[in-house]
Amino acid sequence: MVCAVLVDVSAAGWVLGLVAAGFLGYCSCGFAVDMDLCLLNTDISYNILSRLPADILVQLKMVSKGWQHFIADPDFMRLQMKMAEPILISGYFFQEKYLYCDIDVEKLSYIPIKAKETKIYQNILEFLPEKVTILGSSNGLVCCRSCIPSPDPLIYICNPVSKKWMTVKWDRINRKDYIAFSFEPSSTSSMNENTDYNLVRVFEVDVHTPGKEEFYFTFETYNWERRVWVKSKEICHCEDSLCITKYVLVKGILYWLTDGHILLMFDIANELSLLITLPIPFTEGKLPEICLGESDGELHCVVVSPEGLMIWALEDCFSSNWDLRSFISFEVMEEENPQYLCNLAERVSTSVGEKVPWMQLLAFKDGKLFLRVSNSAYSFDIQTRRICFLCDMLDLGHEFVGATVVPYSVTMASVADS
Amino acid sequence: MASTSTSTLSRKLILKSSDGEKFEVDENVAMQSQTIKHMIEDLDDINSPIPVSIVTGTILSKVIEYCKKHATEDSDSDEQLKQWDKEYANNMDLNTLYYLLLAANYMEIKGLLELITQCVADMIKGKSPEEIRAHFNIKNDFTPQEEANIRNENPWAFEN
Repeated sequence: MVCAVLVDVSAAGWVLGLVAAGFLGYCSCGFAVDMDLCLLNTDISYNILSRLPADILVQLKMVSKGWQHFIADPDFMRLQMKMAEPILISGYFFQEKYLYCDIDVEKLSYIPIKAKETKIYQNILEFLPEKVTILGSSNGLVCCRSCIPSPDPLIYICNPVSKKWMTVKWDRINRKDYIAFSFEPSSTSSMNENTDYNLVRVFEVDVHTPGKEEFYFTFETYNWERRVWVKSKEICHCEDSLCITKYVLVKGILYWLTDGHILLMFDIANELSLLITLPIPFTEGKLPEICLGESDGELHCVVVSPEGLMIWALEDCFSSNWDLRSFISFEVMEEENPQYLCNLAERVSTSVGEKVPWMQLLAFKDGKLFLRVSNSAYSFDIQTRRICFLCDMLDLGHEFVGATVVPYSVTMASVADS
Repeated sequence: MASTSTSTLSRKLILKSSDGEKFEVDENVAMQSQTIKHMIEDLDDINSPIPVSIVTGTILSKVIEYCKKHATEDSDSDEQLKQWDKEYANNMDLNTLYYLLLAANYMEIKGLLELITQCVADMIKGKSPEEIRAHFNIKNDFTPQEEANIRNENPWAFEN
């Protein structure tokens, strides 16, 4: 037998061996190894496990204590963030908003989209010291703020998996604050907060002078080093209002939906703002059902037209140049999903202008559209054109027209404790 | 200089496994291992066998099979080479994969290490914690209570 040295080793627990030997500094898989081999094993087990996406790793903590410790190791988590393939959407946060009443809704639901049978979770952010209103999520981190009233209102940034969180002072409080958040893990080894986290506030300013009235937006970004909000010199004249939480941040550029035919763009690094015309017909009265989202690193805009869904991608923001990536007619949607959808064209067109449209776009991320049709919530895959029933809307709440919907993906992103 | 490079290509090296088995290989095959490449640089007499101390003959022959395939610049397209890699890795049992990993790591053969680590990562991917324990023969050292605690930490994240 040629395997002289290691001949008696069965496959018994060798991955455990790799993991335990690497992390704990000894090997429990039944053969003698010297310390060098243990070090070598750490490299290999890092190499293997860091290829796995975070949603799988969360479950692998159950395998054994060795695996649990290994996966929770901060060095491993940092490496995994860099190495693993970017995780696609895991689920959606959903929070109602009272349209005519000045109270925050405390109930915050999470809807996983990969489950065989959807169960709605209400307590994911309960590790935070108070009830919160969600503002956004980016690369596995969730940004939220205290529900008002609160003795010490704060903005929170947390990872629901590790239950770690940090806070940012929230001053000049207004329940209708426009706060946007994004997290872009840098490729450098050290966590540089200045470039990794983006926190932007937009203010609507309304200046009355005799004979005229001026409307414009101003911007503030959070400086993580000095822990202060810094006002940008940039202003953007616009008469439309922003829609709360209806924003998307793509590669350091903020896009915010307004209640008009345009969206507001703000380039954070260059402090440059611009109004971009939406790919919708210019008509008076009610706008079509519309939703912004990020997919393949591009800003997308999904529009409900009288014939079907139009999926646009922004090719050039300076000329408001949109490319129609996909058009999915209602007939095609019905043919592919006869058990869920029928008579869409008629029902959508007759509900135009009503308070509650027949079809409502809730969120778009990674090629998946989260939408409401009648009283049900679905996930619709733009590629396969298959729809997947998620839940009954009444399980999420009653005030779903102005609700905040935030796509979320599980990651190992670390949060500096504050 | 052309003649020199031709003669370099055709040079033969002898690799010696931990259990004394000897393998004669073309230099460009062996040079895919960074470890061997560095060893040769320090070697005066390239005719003496190069010890690959932690790798057995059985494993070394598999390593050489990989290096040979990747050293020849024949008509294989990237697609064909990928297919060959896939079959190569799929034909290994767990034990062999384990020793190949150690060998590729020790010999610093980037492509082989990449192939086997991805192969093991893929093995883990579609499996539940229970299935992983069974597949890799890992002992569950949690009490049922501890196991439940982990699940209850993020029950929503187990919905995959």
